[in-house]
Amino acid sequence: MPLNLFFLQLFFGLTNGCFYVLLSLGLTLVFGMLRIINFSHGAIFTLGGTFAWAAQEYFAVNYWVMLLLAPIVIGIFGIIIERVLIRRIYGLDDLYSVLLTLGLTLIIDGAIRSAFGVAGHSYEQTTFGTVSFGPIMVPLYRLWVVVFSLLVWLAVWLLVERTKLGSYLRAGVENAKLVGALGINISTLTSLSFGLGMGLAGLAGVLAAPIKTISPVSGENILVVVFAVVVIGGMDSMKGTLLAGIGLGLVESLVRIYYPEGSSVIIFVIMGAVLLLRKQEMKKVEI
Amino acid sequence: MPGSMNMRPNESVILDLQDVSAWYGQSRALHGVNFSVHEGEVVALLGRNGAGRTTTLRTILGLVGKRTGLVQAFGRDICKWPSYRIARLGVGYCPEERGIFSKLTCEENLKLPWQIKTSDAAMSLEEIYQLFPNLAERRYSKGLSLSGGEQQMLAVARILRTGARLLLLDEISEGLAPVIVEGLAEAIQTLKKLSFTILLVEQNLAFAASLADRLLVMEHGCVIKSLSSSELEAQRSWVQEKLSI
Repeated sequence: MPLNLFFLQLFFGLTNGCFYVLLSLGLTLVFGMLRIINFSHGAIFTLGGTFAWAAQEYFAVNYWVMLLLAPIVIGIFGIIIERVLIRRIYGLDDLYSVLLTLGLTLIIDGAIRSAFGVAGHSYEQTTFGTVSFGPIMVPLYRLWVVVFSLLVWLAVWLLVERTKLGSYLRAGVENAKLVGALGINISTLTSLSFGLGMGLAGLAGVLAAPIKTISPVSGENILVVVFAVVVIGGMDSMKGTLLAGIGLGLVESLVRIYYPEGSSVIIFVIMGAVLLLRKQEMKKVEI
Repeated sequence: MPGSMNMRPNESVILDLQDVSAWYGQSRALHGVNFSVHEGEVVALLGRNGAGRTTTLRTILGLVGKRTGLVQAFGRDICKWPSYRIARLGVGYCPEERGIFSKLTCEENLKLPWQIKTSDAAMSLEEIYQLFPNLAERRYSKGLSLSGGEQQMLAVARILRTGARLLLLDEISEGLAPVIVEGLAEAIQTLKKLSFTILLVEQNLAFAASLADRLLVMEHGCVIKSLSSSELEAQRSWVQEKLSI
């Protein structure tokens, strides 16, 4: 394979990795604060992309407006979902969160299919071109996705690690009841966390819309990978999800170059290996 | 109920529990607890493990599953209030397991609780560090890296930052070296002089007796005896039996 195509393919992998990072960041936030495994996360990714496409298609709203608007609207939607539905299952068996969020997935996917059909939609964007790095021509939009995603990760990291709200979130992950006993309204905090997590998923959908065909199955396909990223990176580690997301995106594209049939499987092979290694390490610690 | 309940009839009642019961799930942990704490008093809750002392503190703060009866703090009925509202009313809580957040630094732990804006009792960081110099040295250390004694000081210091006037302290002397316990006792004495109202759960009778104006003995989820500090000596052997000492 020519070198320029090789690096281009790697860059595509980096872009995919950035989507994984944004999605896994949201999933980690939701799990960390609420202890809910949110199976509707993929559907929210689809919702973000569909929202951006529909706004352009029917109302001629441009990409930049949707990049700002969609995560906010979806974040508010997430807060409403948390207040009305999710908080009713706190403290119950994990199966309830699986069932509830799977149900949400079916509702959201069903609504999208009903409104816009089952076929995927492509977002028209003509404002980006390519930029050359020596012999390599890189689509400018994908470069934008990488830079923007990393900036978003950094912003969320700064929020969590350097602000008072972030200290509430970190403390709430450890002991939510005690945080309440120290005068913090934990109910508002959990709603905000869920909204932020959903907003990040919606943002990933808007970013993906110009380069991926957004269809009702887009969310399902990406969610499985994102769960693998979270398992590998660590459920409570933002740095871990960054490294895992980017790393797996790159590995996936490398495998696609040399063994395309393995590209959809390699992430889960790595996940299995990581889980086995962790089990070995935990056994050593016990001894 | 036997014993002196109204030590200071002229001072206002800061905390009042009347016929308070509490449940953890289906299991009833408190059976009609009755006592009150006056402003500036230090009251110790004594009893064996499982007597209901920690549950009493958790019930005041709304941290149990279900509670009935009357719980009043600062004249307000707080029985149906969520925990954060009770804390913002002026109730500070130092939990049994210290509750230091391991991933936050010492200073982040101190700054975490809600500061009551209308309270003049809130201590500044500088005042906290003067009271607990060890914490100043460890201000940027993660909670996980602090020693047991430092964590306990931090847990007490944290609620002093809030401006809370009613302090609920759960077994703050447990598992600590005598010199640390002595330091904590001095801190409590200082708070007593500053007219803080303190409800202290303790297993350490000597520690409790040195600080408390009144001691309440609990058994099977209710208060069975109230003793003033002057009455304790005459009934020390009975109290020790109840504490299984």
